[in-house]
Amino acid sequence: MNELTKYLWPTIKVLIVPYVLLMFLLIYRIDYQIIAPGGITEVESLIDVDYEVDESKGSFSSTYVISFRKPTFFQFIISDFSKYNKVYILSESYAHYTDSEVRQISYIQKYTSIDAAVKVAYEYASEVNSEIVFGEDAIFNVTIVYGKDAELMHYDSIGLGDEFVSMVGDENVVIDDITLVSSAMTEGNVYKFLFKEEDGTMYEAEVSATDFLSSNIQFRTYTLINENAIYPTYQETDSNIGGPSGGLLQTLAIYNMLVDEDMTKGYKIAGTGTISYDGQVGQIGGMTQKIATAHINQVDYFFVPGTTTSNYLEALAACEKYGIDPEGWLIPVETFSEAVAFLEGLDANE
Amino acid sequence: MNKPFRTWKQLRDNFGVKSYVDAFLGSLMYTLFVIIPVILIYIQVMSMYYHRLYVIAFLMTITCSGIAVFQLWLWKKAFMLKRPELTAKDFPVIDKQMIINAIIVFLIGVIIILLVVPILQV
Repeated sequence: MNELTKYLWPTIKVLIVPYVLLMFLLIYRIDYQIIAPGGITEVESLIDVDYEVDESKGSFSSTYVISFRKPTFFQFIISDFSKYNKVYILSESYAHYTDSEVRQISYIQKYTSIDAAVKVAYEYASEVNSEIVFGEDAIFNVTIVYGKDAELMHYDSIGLGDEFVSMVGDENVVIDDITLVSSAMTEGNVYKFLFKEEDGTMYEAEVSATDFLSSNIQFRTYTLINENAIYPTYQETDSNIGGPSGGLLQTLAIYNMLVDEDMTKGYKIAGTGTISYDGQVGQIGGMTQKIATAHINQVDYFFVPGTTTSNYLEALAACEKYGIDPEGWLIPVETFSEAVAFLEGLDANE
Repeated sequence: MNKPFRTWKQLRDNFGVKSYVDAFLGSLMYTLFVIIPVILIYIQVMSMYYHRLYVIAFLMTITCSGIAVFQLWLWKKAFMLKRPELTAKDFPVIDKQMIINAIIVFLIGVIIILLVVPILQV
């Protein structure tokens, strides 16, 4: 080793400062967020419905972007060479979360988005296909812990995504409806909350009225699917991609798996937009990079939320920037039914 | 089949276990100094240019093959520095190993690109 070190020493002397500088650039992370184009994922690879229909000739794909929190200096510098990437100062609402917590929030958004997609798709499909069963008991509400303020280190026992079961309010009243919790609290007091983890383990934690009332600890109520009360059943596949922005395309793909008509008409269809429980298409982030992703992946049609929304205007600006003709390619929709109507009006791609 | 193993054993016997291991560890250490920033650079470029994932992963595979060769070259250099009377031509077993290692690393890279990357993209 000594002989080798002696032999390499002149080179080491010259390179040591640039090397240390390079390692610093590669390791030191800064408070920015970079959004870069990602890829498209065929929804069929994420959700499988146990129902026989003719195989689609085309595909429905959700579009994802790479969102990089706290990039290194090196990533920050090289990101600037891409016309597709965009750098933001890290939003304060997310700054205090660890990477793993952000991933967890993103997965919560994805799984609840899939349930919303299932609800909308099954409800619409049951109107055109009498075999589809989606009764009133097919859905139930769940309230989960969605976020915590940075200072709330003493709430570490409460995990993101854990289900709120009940709380014991003033005069020992047990409340299991999150909307009634504030009325059973007195400012300055501390209350016992009962939570349930994903594996069913129950645990108690104390939450102060001040933290609850000022939303320092945040809860969100989602409508989920009771798979025993629907027909056909479906399976979700684990995936590395999170977030709610695939909602519209997931709904279209599930709907396509439940009806006889091939809604793809042989086209490669992608898009972005959340889906609400009543079928409204909601806005998303990273529109410019999603347009770039769709363009790179040569999709035939691309759905975006709204006709007058900032998302649509962003999409038009991105099309202009990347030299894409939006006419007939960029499809703005406000509701799921508008998207279905558009697809029904398409001629089959031979 | 046993010839390469015999030749390696012969090399070890010629230099003695201590020198043999010392030369290997020296080559490994300097290779690590090279490979750590190279891998970090590739991963970070990949994350920022994800739409060029396959091209970057392919370049990374070629670079890793090159680094595998570089490690063996350093090992050979360390042997030559220990015995200045020897020349580069006196280590045919290491030259052959360079080709084998480069091919193995390249094949591992190709397998990752073709099998693992598509799974991770879902």
